[in-house]
Amino acid sequence: MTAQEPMTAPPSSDKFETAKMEWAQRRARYAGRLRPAKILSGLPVKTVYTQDDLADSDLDEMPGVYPFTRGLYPDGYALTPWMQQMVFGYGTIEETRQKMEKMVAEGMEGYLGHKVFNTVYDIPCMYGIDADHPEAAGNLGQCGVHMSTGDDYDELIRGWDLSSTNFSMITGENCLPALALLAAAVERRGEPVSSMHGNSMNWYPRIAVQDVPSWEPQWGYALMIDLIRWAKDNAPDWNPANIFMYGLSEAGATPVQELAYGLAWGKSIIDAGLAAGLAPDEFIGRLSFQIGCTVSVFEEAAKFRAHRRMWAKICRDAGATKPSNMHARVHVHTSGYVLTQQQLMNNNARITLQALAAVLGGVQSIHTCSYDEAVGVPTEESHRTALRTQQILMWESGLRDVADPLGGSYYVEKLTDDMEAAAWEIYNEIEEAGGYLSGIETGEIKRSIDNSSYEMKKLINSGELPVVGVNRYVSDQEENYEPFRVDSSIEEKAKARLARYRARRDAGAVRPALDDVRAACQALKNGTGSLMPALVDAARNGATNGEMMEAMRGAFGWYVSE
Amino acid sequence: MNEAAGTEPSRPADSGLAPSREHIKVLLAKKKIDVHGRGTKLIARELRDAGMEVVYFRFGVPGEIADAAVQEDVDVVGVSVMTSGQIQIASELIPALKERGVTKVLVIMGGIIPEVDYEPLRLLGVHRCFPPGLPGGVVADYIREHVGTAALD
Amino acid sequence: MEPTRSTAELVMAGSVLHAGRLITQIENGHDGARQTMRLLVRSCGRAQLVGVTGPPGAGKSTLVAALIRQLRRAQRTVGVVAVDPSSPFSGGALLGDRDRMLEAASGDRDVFIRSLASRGAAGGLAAAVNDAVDVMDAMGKDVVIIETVGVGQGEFEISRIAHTVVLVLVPGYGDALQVMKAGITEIADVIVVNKGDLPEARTTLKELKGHGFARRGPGAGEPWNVPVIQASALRQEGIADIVAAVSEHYLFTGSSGWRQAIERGRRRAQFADVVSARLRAELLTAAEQALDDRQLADPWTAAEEFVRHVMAATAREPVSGSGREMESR
Repeated sequence: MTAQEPMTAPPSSDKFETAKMEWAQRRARYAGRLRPAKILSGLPVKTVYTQDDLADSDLDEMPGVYPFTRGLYPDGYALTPWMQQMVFGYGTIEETRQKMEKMVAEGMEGYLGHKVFNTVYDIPCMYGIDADHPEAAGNLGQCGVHMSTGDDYDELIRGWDLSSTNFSMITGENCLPALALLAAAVERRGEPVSSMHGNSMNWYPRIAVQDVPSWEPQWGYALMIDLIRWAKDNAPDWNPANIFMYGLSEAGATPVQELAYGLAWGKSIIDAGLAAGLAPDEFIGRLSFQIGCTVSVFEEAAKFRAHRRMWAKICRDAGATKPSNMHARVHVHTSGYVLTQQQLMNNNARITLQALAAVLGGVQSIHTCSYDEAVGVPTEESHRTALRTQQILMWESGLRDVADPLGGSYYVEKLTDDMEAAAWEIYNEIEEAGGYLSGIETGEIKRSIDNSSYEMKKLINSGELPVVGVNRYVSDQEENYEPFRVDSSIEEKAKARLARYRARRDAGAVRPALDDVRAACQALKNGTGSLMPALVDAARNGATNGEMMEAMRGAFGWYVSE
Repeated sequence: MNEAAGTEPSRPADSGLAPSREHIKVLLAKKKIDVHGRGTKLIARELRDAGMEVVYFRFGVPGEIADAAVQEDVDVVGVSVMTSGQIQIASELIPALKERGVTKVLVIMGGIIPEVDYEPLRLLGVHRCFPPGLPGGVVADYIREHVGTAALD
Repeated sequence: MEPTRSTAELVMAGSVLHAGRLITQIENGHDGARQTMRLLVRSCGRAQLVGVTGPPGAGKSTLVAALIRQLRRAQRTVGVVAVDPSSPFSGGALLGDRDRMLEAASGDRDVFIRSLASRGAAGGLAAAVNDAVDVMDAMGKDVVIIETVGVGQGEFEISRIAHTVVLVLVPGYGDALQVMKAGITEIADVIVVNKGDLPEARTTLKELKGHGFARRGPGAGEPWNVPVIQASALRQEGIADIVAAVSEHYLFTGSSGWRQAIERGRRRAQFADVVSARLRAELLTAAEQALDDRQLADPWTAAEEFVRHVMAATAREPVSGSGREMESR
């Protein structure tokens, strides 16, 4: 007998037993032939779930109450809808500015009518090279905005009310200089830095899976903590670190792996912060997550629920005492890797399912990809359609009205428990082996995720994992889709902006400021000082993104992980 | 059983000193600077599973890719582009290969490249472009079919 | 002009294009390649040959990249043969060493890197490595680095080619004792503890140093005391020390007759390899064809008879040292 004694004997337990028997009889003929299904994470799922499956579950949970499985807030979206944080950014700040204004006009908004700008930088900025660097050619303003000077940042914040505008800056390695440049721009406007709202990605640990050049691991973490500390002291409403689980799943992690490694990533930041002398309640609560979401609807919803439960526990074990400091604040970026280049319009259905899963999962903010994401930068129409998808979910579907609607579902509760257990296993393995930082150094995380990517490809190749338009319902029709093209004149424009800026600024002030940055880098390495103040000062004195990064690269090394 | 390559797993190549059958040698590179390596890594593995020898490096400017192509004497050069720049790369890479005396080589590109760019790229010398997420074996089959006759004109 | 002669000349003049193609031909066992090698081999012997081996994950390629940089700073030209294992299932291979050397070699026409797949070679070292090394030597490279993965017998093979073998270890890898038990340290002339920034590096260094490895050359000469050097390839630390140790060893082997013994051994092995391959190609087909069903019932006797027949035929035509007598026939 598998079922535990129920706490109160339901009057219909005989009825249930009878129903189960009849169910078994009805399916006896073919039950053996049913092929068991698996979710993306590899866990098997049955065809039917019942109360029996929840015998070991803890269902005595409420939204807004530790461990927050059912949501961070007591009434879910009814009080606080999710933020529509659509990523955008290309060209120079001028083009991006136009886009910002357009999106606001389209109704993109965050909490309580606040504005949110989720701007992605171009790769030269992420690497920390300015428009005139030889390697920037062909990459300027492509797939991101080129913002590297004080002028650019002045233009970014022009006209927006800082107390009700969220500036989310999708940086690469240039995280610290970007924040410094923003702070200097805010000061120039005569406003206090403490009024800044927004996000620094600060996602150095993504090099565990991304082959991008970056800092040496020990310095990567030191820089992360430096930014976190500065934000704590100067901009308390700023979110100083984003745990980029999205990068893990895009690289091939299954949802369970994404969950486990993501939590280990977060834990490694907690450990580094505590080791640096920060008190748990000072910084843990400001960490946030960016997570992917596939079309495996219930698996994803269960993942988000398990994630909240697990993170709350990790935070509490680490010493956080305020409940809000144990909140897993989640922004979902719908997974790009599930979108196809074949039959582009199919992607609309995928994106809708992804957004649905995220909403059912109770996340705080969503970016929906555009249906043409697999061919290039989104067109205006595809970008708008992605935003409308969220708005339809928000206003037409009724999903907003009930918190954690899947709570109590036999399937989803069991799946939540199972994913949690599977993730703890991986998480504990990583922690025992020295944590996420160690995983970066040994290449273990990369290998494990690469293998998952490979295994998934094999399933797609064999047809076991169907992808409509790719291995099923394939069409010979040519796609004559004209994607959005970033005007090649952007390159000249960006270079001209840079030249004008350099001509205008006081070159005499820049050099000593950069010397100070170099000295501060050494101080950080020696453990005798911090870097951010020197960067902010350099930004005040006119240093550019590339110039600050050059100084930093000299000190902290620049290499590609194993 | 991995059906990706569409071939039987072959017998281990002869040990010892007798020359083994000729292997197709492929160079796979992502453009510099770029992000994401998932697609290229998968193609590298698939080609390896199909019996090819794959020199894989993460980022290269056209000059570096061409230098590698000539030193490694490859049969195929594959470049992956995820954050645009495909036309520029093709217009630099093909001349760089020719300049180094490499002519009998198959040039392929893949990644986030819209189909409307395939023809302009072909005119620049790229033999074929592949969209992301293709079922396995497609690239390997194409290479096997065309590698003997490929040339840069 | 014979095509093989001009290929050899071009290679000796430093043509990367022809050297690359020649190495491919060698890998594939083309007859033409052998002819070219006969012309090239007399230009060989100038290059300093350095083997770099060690377990996977030790950071060998990053170390080789650092060595390349150091050597280039000293204006020395460099060739690299990087060997990776072929998959026993598909016969294919992922050759990822070049990737780590990219920055070190970028745009530098005096650095030639070639990746080779082991192709199931018994020792894990591609049969073509020896010849590829000769090609780079003939091209005029001052130093040729051979990098292999130290699994299976790869390390032992490398000691029969290189003048100096550098063994790269990583702190905490198993433990130093394990490594020593496996006998790998026996072929190392220089031991490097890479990733010296890791906490266990100190301990591993101490353990290895404390053991006091020494290698004996031919004859009763002085043994070579194997230096154990800490390095961080990533941070370019300890690299100058490694290059200095390698140079010192090179000089040491020169003055002690050791180097000659290595080179003699290598040429011997190459002779045996080629003879074996040629005889196999020439005789085996004929032998198999000559075999009839009756003889097949007892393959051992049939084989003995065949070999005796071949040996007898050879005895009628004595082989002189240069083989010139055979050629003139």
